[in-house]
Amino acid sequence: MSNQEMNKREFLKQGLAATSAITCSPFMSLAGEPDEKLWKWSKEGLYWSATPRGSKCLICPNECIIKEGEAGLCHNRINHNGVLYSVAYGNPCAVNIDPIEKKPFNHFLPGSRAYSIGTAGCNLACMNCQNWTISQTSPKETRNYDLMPDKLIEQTIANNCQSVAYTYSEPISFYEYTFDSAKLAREQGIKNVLVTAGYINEEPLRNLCKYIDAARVDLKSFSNDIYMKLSAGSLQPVLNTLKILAEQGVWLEIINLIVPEWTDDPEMIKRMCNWLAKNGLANYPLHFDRFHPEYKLTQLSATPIAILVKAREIAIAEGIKYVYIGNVPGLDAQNTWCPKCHDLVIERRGFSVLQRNLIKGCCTKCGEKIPGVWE
Amino acid sequence: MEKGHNRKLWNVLLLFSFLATGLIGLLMVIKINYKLQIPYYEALLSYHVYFGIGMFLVGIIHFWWHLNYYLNLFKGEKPKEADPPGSVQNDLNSSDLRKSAFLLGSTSMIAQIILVREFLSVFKGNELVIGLVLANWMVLTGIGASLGKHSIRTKKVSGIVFPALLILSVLPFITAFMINYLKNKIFPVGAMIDLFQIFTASLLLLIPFCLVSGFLFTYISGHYSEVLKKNETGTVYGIESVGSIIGGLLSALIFIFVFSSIESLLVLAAINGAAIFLIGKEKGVSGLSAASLIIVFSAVILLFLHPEKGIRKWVYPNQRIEVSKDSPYGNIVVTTRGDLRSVYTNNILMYDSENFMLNEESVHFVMGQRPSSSNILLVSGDLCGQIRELKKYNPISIDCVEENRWLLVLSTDSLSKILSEVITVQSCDPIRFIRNSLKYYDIALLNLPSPSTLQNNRFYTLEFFRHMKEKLTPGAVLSFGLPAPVNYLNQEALDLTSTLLMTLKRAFKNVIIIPGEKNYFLASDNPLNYGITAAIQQRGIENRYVNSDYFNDNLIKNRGEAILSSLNPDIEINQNLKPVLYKQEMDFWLTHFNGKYWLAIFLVGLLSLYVFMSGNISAKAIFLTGFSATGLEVILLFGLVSYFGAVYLLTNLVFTGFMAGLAIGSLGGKLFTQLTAGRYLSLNQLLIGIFSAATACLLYIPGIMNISQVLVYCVFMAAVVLTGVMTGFQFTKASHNQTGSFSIIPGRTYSYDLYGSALGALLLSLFAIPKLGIVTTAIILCILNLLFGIFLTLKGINKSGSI
Repeated sequence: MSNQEMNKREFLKQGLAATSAITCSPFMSLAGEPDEKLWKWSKEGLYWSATPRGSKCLICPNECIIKEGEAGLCHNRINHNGVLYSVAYGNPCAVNIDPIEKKPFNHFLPGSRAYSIGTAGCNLACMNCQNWTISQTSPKETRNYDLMPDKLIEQTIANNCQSVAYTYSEPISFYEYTFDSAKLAREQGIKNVLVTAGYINEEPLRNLCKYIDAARVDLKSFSNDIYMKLSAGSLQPVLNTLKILAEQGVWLEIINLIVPEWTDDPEMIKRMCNWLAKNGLANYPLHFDRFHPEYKLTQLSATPIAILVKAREIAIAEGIKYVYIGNVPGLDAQNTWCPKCHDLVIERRGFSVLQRNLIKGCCTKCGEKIPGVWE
Repeated sequence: MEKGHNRKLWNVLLLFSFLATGLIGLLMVIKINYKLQIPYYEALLSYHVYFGIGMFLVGIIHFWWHLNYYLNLFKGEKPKEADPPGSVQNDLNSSDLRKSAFLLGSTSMIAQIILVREFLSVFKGNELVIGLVLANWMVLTGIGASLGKHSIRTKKVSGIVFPALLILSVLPFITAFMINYLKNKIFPVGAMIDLFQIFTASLLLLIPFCLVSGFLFTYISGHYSEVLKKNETGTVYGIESVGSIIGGLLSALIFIFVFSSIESLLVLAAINGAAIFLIGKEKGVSGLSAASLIIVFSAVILLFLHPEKGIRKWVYPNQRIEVSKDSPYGNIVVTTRGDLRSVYTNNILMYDSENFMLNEESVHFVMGQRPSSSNILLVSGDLCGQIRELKKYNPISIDCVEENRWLLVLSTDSLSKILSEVITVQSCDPIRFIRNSLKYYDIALLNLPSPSTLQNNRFYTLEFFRHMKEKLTPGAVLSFGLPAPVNYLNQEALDLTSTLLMTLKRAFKNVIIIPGEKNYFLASDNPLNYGITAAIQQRGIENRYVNSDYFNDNLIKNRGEAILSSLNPDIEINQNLKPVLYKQEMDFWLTHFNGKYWLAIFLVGLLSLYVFMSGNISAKAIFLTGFSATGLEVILLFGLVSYFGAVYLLTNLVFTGFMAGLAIGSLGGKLFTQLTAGRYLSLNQLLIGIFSAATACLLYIPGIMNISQVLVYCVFMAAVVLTGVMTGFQFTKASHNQTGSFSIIPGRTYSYDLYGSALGALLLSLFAIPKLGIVTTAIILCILNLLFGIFLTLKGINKSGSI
């Protein structure tokens, strides 16, 4: 190019090209955004209210105020024309038939199979989430099944499953689908089990309890600070959930995943067990699960088994009667022992029950009632 | 492009972005104040923001362009005219300056090799991290070199050079210390951090070293030219490259085998301290001798205190560090916590002593496929744990291969307890082992890391699977497991799984996936099945985990078939020269973070465009040469690693070979004076284009696998050296073709070389090669260089570096 003035055409051409480079960025961005519009699997939310700032979702303690065309933190509740909709109604992306022990439930219909479903989205953001490809995305970005509540129950019966498990991500974030399916299942004599982190507001929880038979609640930590840093949640709502579930007569099993450096402090475990015992939850099973590096927490070791054993000892000392260790095959701590005569009540190996010394829910040796839903 | 045109272009951009932001902003103010219902309000808002971002970026560029104006605004001085060349005398002679350039080169190379490894081992072990850290390194050094243009020219040069070299001696150790210390202090404990955080962290941590080293290059070059009263930038570049060669050789051949990373950096500090003491003791720089000696003694004392374990403890809190060892394959750390013993490579957990579940799955899923298996090949992983499981089948032989000798050394005690005459253990590259093996196996059980690096990708290519099959008996089974999401494969995981499946299917008739703790891929020419527990029960084998109590064959079958049915049969397969899997693995890794990377790509693109356009034609030539040289280096490294493995060792050798070429090219470039520098620039650019095409052909030499290994190494290394020669030559000629003061010439040439290299590291190694393949990338380089070379030839270049 010679050292002469740039002509007008060249000037405009180059200016336009560079400006296009800057302005094309919004299109690139919009192309990657989920389309927050209604579709076949949208259903108006059950708990929300209109506010001048947008639709306020009242399902969980996040209480997102969702602006027009936007989605909540859980990725599956949107504001369309001022109305709050769930876009995860009848479109699970994960569907499997699992042994109930895999959830895990040790005192609920042992040996039965659960028709397990989960849609995309979750109201928490745990850094160790095992199902992060489901939980941290929107139903509009996953490959989904078309499984409306009636079809779900039909499939559950056809596959000879005794229960429907609302699991994998977080059933609270697909509340409407869970609620309608559970209601329909109850009518058909199918049990409903909730596999949840328990991060839900009181009113929707109490309403849901009418149809739920069992809940496995993930009590992630006993520190509000750790809850916030590890999961973007808070502790108190989960403690409330535990109390309400017990009060409403829903069978409850509690999981505490012991993550090294995060939730393995014996003092904190002791405080947690003490709280459970003091709040009338000592008769509900408590599972200490072994952590394996997952999702973002991949630069940690797995939980040493000795720490799990220690946690179990702490829990028993604090008065919790049924304490199990999960994700470690071959330990005695997967068996149920009678808290009164200390004899073996149920011997388990994996998902199989090898021995069952239980008659009508009582220990065959001393007659102590072993709480649970056995039949 | 002429400076005037360039200025107009950016002024137009500034005007457009200002006007657009302002007008849309005004519209929104009206909407808010008068409560108007403007359609597309949300879109307008986002445009307002995007134009604002554009305005900000153009503003930054504007600021950078007029930096001198702003600096002088605060100083209240008019810009100084550059001193005429040769008018300033300094207290260092040419020999001192040559020694300093040599020391700068060796220090920079050792620091680069070790610090990149530190980032890799502390943050995350994939190529994206290497590319990003290297790009940051080069850009920062380029900025440092560019800042050197503004350096004050003083007679007391030793007062700048030696203290700066001393600072460079200790900065690598401090940087490594900070990388380890800050990882879990700033970011969540044990958490992977996202690309933006890696970018920011590496940028901030590398600023001190890179800025000082870049600045010092320009400073030394400028003063060396002053001493000799002619432009000697190319010579200093050559001497610095010789220093880099020595640094590279020291790292590759001695440090990595004798010292840990931290120890190597202490040795570097001690050697440099001593060297500066010897060179600078008579220069009268106050406190220099004392400071040098303090550094030497402190480094030696620290070395004897073995700080490695103490520093690593910050990365592995509450774990006892049993071993921390740098190997040619990365950093190995063995920790214990209670009874749990964990083995990490580059901060990724390889296995632990209590995870028998993985060992049982990897062994019994495959062993259940055949009624009997006599000869078994076991590659990598927890060898002890797997041998225990394999012994349950009473095989005639188990041949174990571990690529990383240090992992074997660490397991010597436990291995010795279970070894018997049926078991052999070897440390060598698995591909080479398979190629040279005279034995045929019934089962090949691979436990190699996922293809997140170039090094590991080669175990998942069609070429590898075909080689593997040649050493298998008819109906034998190949098996390996890869971590995968448990209940749902997102699109990226689906692509990755599809590619693996389709690649395997090209080599084997039947492939199934068994989901467990990992997704296990089983491939054979015989039918395969999901009846794992039935087969185990039939043989009376007792397991703690893989048995009918934990696994239901029908449920496994349902899950396995569901995965298979969801895969894409039309997806591209993974090959040595088109490593799509490693790009997919990186894409999958990025989905952990939900980041919007278009902004980063856009920013890099815009900055590169600006840098390229703002340079004169000689600067553009060296920019393109730096870009192409990085690409060619990576292509040759790909070729070497694909065939021979050991990426860490080879990377060092390739870097060193390239530096040797740089030294030859830049020093030898001075001897070519028959033509004008501009003419040489254009010819060499054409040559680089032709060489790019030749490099692609080199990778397709028929029967390369059967040629003598030494010969192939030599050919590849010769190509690496030649790439360096052409780059060094171009550097010298570009610097000869520049005008300006002796500090402006090296500053401009060196910084453009590094900016181009940084773009090459990011664009070519992370996008073009995995996405387009090696051949297409080489062809693109060929076309770019030929076009630019033709352009230079046709237009001609004058001495001012413009057309």
